[in-house]
Amino acid sequence: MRAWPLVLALALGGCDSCGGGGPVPFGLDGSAGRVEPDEEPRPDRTREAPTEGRALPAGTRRVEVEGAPIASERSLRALWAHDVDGDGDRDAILVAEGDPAEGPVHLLFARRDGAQFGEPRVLGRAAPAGAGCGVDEATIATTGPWLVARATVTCEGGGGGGEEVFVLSAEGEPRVHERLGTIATDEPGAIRLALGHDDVDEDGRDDLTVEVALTTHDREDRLNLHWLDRPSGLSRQTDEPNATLDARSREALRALRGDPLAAIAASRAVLRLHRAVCAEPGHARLRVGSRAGLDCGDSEGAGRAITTVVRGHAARGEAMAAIDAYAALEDPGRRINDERRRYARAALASLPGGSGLTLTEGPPVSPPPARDATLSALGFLDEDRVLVRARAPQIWTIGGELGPADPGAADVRVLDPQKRFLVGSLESRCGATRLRVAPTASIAPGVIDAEAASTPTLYGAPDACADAWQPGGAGWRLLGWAPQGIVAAREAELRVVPLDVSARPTLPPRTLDAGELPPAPLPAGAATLDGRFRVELRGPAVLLYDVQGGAAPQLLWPEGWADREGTPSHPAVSPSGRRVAVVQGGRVVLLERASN
Amino acid sequence: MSDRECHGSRVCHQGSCMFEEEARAHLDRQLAGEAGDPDGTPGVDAGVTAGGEEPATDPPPALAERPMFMGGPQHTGRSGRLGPAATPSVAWTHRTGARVFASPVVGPDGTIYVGSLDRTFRAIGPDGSLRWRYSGQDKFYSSAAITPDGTIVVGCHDRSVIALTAQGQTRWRRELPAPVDSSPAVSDDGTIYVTADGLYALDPEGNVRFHHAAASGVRSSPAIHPDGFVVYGSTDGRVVAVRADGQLAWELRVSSSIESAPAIGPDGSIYIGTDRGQLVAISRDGRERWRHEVGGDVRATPAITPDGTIVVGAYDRQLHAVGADGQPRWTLRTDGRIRASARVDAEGRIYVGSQDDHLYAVSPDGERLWDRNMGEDIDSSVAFGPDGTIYVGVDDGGVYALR
Repeated sequence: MRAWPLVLALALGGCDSCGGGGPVPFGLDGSAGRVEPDEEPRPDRTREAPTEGRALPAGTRRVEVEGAPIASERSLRALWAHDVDGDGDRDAILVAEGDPAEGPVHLLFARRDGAQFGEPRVLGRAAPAGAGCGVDEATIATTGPWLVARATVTCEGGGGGGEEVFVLSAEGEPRVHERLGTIATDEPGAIRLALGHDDVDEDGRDDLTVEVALTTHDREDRLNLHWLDRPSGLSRQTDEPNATLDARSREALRALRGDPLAAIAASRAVLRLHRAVCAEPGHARLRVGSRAGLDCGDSEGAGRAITTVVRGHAARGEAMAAIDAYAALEDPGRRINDERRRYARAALASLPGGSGLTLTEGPPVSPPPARDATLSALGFLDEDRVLVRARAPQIWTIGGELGPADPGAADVRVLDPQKRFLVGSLESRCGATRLRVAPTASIAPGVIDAEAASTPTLYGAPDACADAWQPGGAGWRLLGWAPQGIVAAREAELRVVPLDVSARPTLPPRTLDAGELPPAPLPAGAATLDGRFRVELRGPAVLLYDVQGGAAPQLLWPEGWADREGTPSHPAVSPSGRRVAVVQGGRVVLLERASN
Repeated sequence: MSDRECHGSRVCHQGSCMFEEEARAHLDRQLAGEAGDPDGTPGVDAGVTAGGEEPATDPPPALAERPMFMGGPQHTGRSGRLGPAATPSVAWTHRTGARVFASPVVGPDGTIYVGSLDRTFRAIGPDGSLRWRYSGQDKFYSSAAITPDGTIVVGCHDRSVIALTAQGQTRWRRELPAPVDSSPAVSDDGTIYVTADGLYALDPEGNVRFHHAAASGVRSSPAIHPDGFVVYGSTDGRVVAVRADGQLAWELRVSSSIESAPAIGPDGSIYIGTDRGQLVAISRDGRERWRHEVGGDVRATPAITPDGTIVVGAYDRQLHAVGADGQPRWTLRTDGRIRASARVDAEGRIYVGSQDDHLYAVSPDGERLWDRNMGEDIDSSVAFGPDGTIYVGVDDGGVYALR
């Protein structure tokens, strides 16, 4: 207690040297909050700890606590000073900026011995980040019995960053009990963590509560996570978030019959929270320790919620929304059992069937697996003949039998018109997608000479981040290599990558305007030769786009389509656009419209 | 016509675009009874001659159909092929999404190449089917040219010249500072001449050999003179002749904006139309020989018939035939302005479209042989196929095959 008058005097004296880089003479100008003693004071509970530390301006490299300096090569962003070891002089816990490659945030502890501080040691670090990431602001404050250090990390160019949170004890030997954080992604909305304390398990000891708040448009969804205070430290209560997701999804399901719109909204809120906090969907925005997302397993709540979304949209007659949700039914992290599948199919079956649409079963076929960098295994040679690009290529004459095709017709590779170059694969990162193009002469069977490959951009800014390129086209599907360049489609968007005779870019890739026909000719497959019609698959849905018919596709959904087994693949459209063929259940299936 | 349709500071005077001082001079002449005199008109600047040569004494070699605007680099409009002698039928129509202003050209294998204002450039088979389509970033006003090595070269309003293989793949694309709405001319050595902000000479790989700058954008397509220079008209009222080394040979002020392309006659004379409603004849060394007044802008390119008659349509809705001496021979009246350039087949029949929606066939003597209503304005010139079929673009977006 003898230090209190000094503390108060120093605090009243104010701080007149708080500019960037200058010493902070006191470091204790936060209110020396009074802590009410417990009925049974815990030996590790400080009675004199300040509730808040001090934020420091960027570039601060030296601070002083009661005249004792702490110097650092790192920029110090927050300081909390308290006698943690009970030796009568104030020690310091600091938030410092670090090299992004080592972690942009370091939590330091400097023990004071008399007039000097010892070398600060690192209590914890944030996860490594890209170059150009740094601390925007930092705070240190107490939350119940713990000290919580927080730092907001922002990165140049807008990508990356988030918030880093360290929960530590500050008595005796300070140590970090838990490290949390938020991850900045392209996902819509903002995520916030609010830390508090409450005796969740009613054992007389405060536990750590973390409220996760997800704000999307004008809506905020929240759930609570708990870390129970145990003698060994903090232990996360593992029944969350599943318990909350389960309860809310049940609530939404109860609303389905009377108010499908409300049921959809509530279910989507469950799915958003699931996606934000759980690791399984792969888009977590919550970090616990060094992991993105919590291990939630296959979530009953998420599985029930997505099924409710399908049923709700179908009940409202919103076919495309129901189909989109159905296509996402078995996304990672959702528990979908047979019962839920039946309910979802039944919901789709209730959608009105396409009038004037006939379905014809064709012959059995064994095409190669569908890939985004290859052509469809089916292609209309004319209105009445469908090429099947299989190991032994064949031609199906509609209404007739299968016959042999030229062996060269089996090629599903995307080749330039001279067959000198091919697209080996698509790869994506940070919203960008690029092609790997190689001379056909450099290809050994199944292997592309990496040195020979070029990588023209299909979409986005390829240098927006330094993440590794991941295989996959992010939804882009190649329609073919027209003389002018490669044409790709993703939902309603058509994109051209103009390449010259040597497969070098002649112009930046561009999205075609609405109604603009793509370069032609395109190979028989998912698009017609002249590019006017193309067909896309979305789960069980077959969508026909007419470039000259507006942006909205026509859903081809004949009677009984929802009850058919197998997801359609390898779409093809006839020159007139009236006929579409897919492979489903190991057979060619023909969908025919009465008229355009 | 109003002043807004005239370029720059020109004004609309009696249906023609001209500079204000010209309008005053014209009024003065009208009052003095001198209007319409094509020879020695007071106030017309003398031509500036640079490096003029002795006129050639031998007639130029027999003209053949070359796959470029007006049938060849001299823009005579003559073809060694025949067109329909009687009213043809439509064999097929290939639809584009917007007006077809450019003139089709026919490749060695019968493929028809043409650009559209829907921003596409197409290769169309002789049966009307699409062979390939190039999607540009802006409109195609330019007619294509095919180089000796088979490359198809065309200008685009997106400020580029594009070179494509016969399969439609891009060989190269050269960006220029101004839209390329004129049609390229290709010399025997493969040099490609286009106008944009002046005259450009490009080598077969698209590299710029020289640029002879103009004060403003040029829409007149260059013609290649047998004497070795390239000639074009400018919107600031000059006819410019540039040598193969990029140096100015001569220029002649005609004091009226020019969009018409020049045509070269058998004696080396150069004929060009002006927005002031005149057909101007210029000697090979850049001196004006005569002017023939017509009643409206001459934006089409004159054609030269086998007997040397100059045939050109004008905004006065008439097709004019003028002798090499400047004397009028005949006129054919239509019901619309004539923007399209006439073409002449191997038997001297003249084919031209009008903005009265009709395609006309005219005998060498000016008799109407037939006309066919195409439904919309015709600004494109016909191209001749090897089998007597003619191809023409129409403002309804169609490329028509007629036989």
